Amino acid sequence: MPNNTVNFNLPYPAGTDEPCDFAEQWCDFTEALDGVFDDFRAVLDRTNPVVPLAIVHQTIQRSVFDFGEIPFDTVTADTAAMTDLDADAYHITIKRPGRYTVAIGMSKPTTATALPRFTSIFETPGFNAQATLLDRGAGLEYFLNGYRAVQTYAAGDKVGLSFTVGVSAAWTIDESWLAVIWHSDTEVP
Amino acid sequence: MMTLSCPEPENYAAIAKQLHETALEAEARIYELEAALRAAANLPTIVQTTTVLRTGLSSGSESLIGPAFGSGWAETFNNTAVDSDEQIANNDTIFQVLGDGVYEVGFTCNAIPSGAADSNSFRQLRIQHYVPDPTSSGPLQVGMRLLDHASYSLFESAVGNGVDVSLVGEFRINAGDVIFFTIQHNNTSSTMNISIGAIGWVTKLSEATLTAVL
Repeated sequence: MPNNTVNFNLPYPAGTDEPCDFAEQWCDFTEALDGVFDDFRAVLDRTNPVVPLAIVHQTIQRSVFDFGEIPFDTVTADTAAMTDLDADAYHITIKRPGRYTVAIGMSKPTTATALPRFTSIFETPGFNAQATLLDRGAGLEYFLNGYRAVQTYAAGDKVGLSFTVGVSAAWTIDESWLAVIWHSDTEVP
Repeated sequence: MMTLSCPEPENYAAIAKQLHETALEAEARIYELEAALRAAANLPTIVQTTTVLRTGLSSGSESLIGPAFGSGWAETFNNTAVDSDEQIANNDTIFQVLGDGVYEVGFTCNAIPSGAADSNSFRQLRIQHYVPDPTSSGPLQVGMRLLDHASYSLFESAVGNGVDVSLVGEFRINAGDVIFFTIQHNNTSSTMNISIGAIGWVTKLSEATLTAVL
């Protein structure tokens, strides 16, 4: 009866095995080793050369109500079927559970000097992230850029983008983008 | 019926040959895995830092900044096949070498007026992604068309401390495309400087056209 290694269960002959068993034992060993290699490769294939990610853009100027979600019209990249703008123009849907980074950009004309802020809201399950800049009046297109460090998502979670200027009305959003990019698995090595 | 033959002395050489072949096959698998592991653990990244004060950026127009528009710069990190003397901005060589993919591009700097600071004047930093287009005349670069950008607006009060700006964008970039770092401001009382130590970086996150394993 062959013995087996502790960590990967690779078989090897015992001292009492018959020499005529060697061929079969050797095949068992190489087959088991192949299986280990395949498992390693499967892990690496999750990280390189492609990871789950999606980038969507709103390229058409929109009038969106305060705290309203941004409808996207263009998929710039999607490696994991995370977008279906025909069915849902507002979200990127997580397919592989794990930790993700989220980045956004928005731009709009000035609202008015009396309205002092422009806040983007990354809408994510469990917790929203925000970025804010001051709106100091005319003569400038206001660009807001935000970046969120890693956040754990489950399969089916949806990530969207909204905004507020602090006044309940419809506001012009010239363009925006949302990127959701897989960062890592959640298991402890 | 016995299907497996037992090794006899005349088979010993064949056993050695078989072990040799297995060893070579195992080494090929390990070599492949090692290459994949190194690729996964070392995402292609270039980081460059300016070493010279960038001066004379006038108000009201967009100025190219960062390595290496009018500035000296040093390569802080580079684990790619891109030559160390290639600047990451205004250079189509970078993505010719790194290839198509999804990239994180970032830039951080301190923008400070050379003289008087106008109260609450704006600073707009932009990372712009251009694609070659012979029919295009601009707006910034002749022969290129603006495809995408990440931008940020800030204001400086009149104290003259400058503003620290950090900006990150995620771009789908193809070979031959070009990245620019730009700033625009309306500080009319003096020109703008970009302090030594501005940092620009490019990291390839993923291929864009393949399907990820879930």
